[in-house]
Amino acid sequence: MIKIFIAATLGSLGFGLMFGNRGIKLLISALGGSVCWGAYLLAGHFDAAGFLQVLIAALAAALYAEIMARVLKAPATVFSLIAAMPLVPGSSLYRTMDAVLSTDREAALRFGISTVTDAAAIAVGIVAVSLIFKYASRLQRLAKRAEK
Amino acid sequence: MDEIMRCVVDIGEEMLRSGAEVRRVEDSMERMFAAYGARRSDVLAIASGIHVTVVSADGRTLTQTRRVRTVSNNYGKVDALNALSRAVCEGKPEAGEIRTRLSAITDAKRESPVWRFLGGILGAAAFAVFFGGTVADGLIAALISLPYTASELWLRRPDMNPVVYNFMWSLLMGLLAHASVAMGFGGHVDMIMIGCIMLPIPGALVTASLRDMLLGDTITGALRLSEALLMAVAIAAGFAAAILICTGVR
Repeated sequence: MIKIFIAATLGSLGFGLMFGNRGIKLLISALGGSVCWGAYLLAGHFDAAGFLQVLIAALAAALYAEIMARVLKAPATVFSLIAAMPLVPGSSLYRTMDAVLSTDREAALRFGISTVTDAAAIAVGIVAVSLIFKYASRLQRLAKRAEK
Repeated sequence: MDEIMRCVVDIGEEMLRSGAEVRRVEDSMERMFAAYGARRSDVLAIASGIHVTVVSADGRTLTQTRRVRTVSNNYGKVDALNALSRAVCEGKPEAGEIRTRLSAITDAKRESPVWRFLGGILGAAAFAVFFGGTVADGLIAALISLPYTASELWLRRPDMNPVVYNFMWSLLMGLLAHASVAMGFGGHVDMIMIGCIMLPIPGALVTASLRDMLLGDTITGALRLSEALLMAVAIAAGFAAAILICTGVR
């Protein structure tokens, strides 16, 4: 399990490098991979699975990204997609293709559906958090204006 | 205003090209125009282009259109451009100064390619292990990542068809994975291929496209999503072709 955890972090580090993050922002986006996978394991511990488990992990990755974006004064995009990299269904896409090749319709359907729902869960998680933060900061600004 | 406008549109174009959200591109440009006293500015950005019309402070109407062909994710650049657009809004520098600072950002991509290679190695190796492969599988996936990264850095051109490009590279990586296992390196050909599949897979593009759609930019989201789906199919087909060539029909 520790091996997988390290692999998730190094994988995010690799994609951080490929997507042009450097220095402290690279380090923070790689740690996002650990946060994301930690949340995934924790959600699994509480019996979440499939779409819900990926969604919870994506929410955690996005929350982490939004907080770090405010600390380091950078757009959250810089961190969120890299942090969520361990959730990207590369393995499911491969297994779908493999099942199609061996004309195993049942497995192809199963893996195909999980490829699509996992991708959707990542996007929904990241967008939900970014919308919450956007409206929260808008409310804050309105409140400040009302005080004056 | 003409020169300022050209600079602002350049910043927007670079942001879009680096994979920034369309909403961010539009917002940043409109803020910069407002900072320079534009009476009105209409910015329409979609995945493949930007259209801008500005009514300047002295009452002239200016229009520019940009065609944007490739989007390659570079969040370091998005971050730097975002900071530049804020600085422009606050300091309202001369056009020459914006130009200098912009080219400092766009030329920064000519840094040592070592970091990109390292990124490819880590990405492929770590995900081969992550999805259940051995360390030997990871090392093979890392080796296969090297020619792919080299191609991303030096061979890829904006006018190349992404579907054909990704199909060819998936096929090639699949063949290399089979060849290395056949020669006795690494154990699990499927794990090596899963590691390699993570490199071209448009995971960031799918998320970005759904994000654009959920934020209200439906056209851009739909464009990017269909591009991502085509790429995913091309990648799967490439690896499938490699399997068929190497192991025959099962």
